[in-house]
Amino acid sequence: MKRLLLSAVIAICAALSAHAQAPFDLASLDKLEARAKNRTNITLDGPLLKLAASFLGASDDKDAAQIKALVSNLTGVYVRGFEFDKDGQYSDADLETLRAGLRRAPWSRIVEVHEGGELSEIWVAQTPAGDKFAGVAIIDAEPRELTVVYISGVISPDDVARLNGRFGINVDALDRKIKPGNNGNSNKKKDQAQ
Amino acid sequence: MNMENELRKALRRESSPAGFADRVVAKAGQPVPRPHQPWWKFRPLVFANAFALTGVLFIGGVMYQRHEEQRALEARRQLVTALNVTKASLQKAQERIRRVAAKPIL
Repeated sequence: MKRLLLSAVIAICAALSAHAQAPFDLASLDKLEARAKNRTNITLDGPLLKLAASFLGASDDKDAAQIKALVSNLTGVYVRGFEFDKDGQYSDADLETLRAGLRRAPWSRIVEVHEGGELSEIWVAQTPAGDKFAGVAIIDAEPRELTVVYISGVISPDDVARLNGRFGINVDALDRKIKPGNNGNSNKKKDQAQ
Repeated sequence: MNMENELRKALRRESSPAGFADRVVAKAGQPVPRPHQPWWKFRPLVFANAFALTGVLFIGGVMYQRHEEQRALEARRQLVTALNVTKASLQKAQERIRRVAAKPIL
């Protein structure tokens, strides 16, 4: 009985750690920063993510409430974006480290679209129950632009669709609502590369 | 003459009483007792210290609150940016799927 209990605890811990850990190291993209004209680097996890969600807006705001609910189940949101002056500043090999991590269980690729020199990949990690995702990774590659998004935590397929703006969460509108009187900064964080 | 006698008598060496030296040495070793002062005699000083401490705590609290608020606003801005980037990436993927699906199969 004790052995069975111990095995169950170990299995649960292993499952939790597998879902909690990032499948790849985003630092593998750091080398592209030097070549990029503009870059976006966002790392929001743990208490900082909760803090950000708590400041999203008034509790009676429908958009804010939906995003708060969505974010409440997340453990991390990571974005790495690069814009380049010319083509060929990064190669497919630069993405291999990411893909190598994503090829492992419980990750699976649900979208892969090549069109001209452009590529979209969407990877998801399913929860053990299989009805939700434990993480979503998006690779959006264009000749002069590369964006990698990694969202960790429990997120439903409906939430992903909501993020796409199809079901009412209008992030742009929310951003417009929270801008006045607060920071008033531009929507997109783009640091000029030196 | 009389005055001379009186002066001599006054200046005459006299030995100290018995145990006088011991008592002096014993007294010298003891701490000097300070007169007890009630706390309210220092009231201005007490109030000044309390006021200064309250001020420091209040200013510190306000500064910490402002710092936390700035941190939260920056985090929120980053979250909204991240959600916008995610949305844009998903929409691009959707567009690409639509365009690729619309292409005629040869």
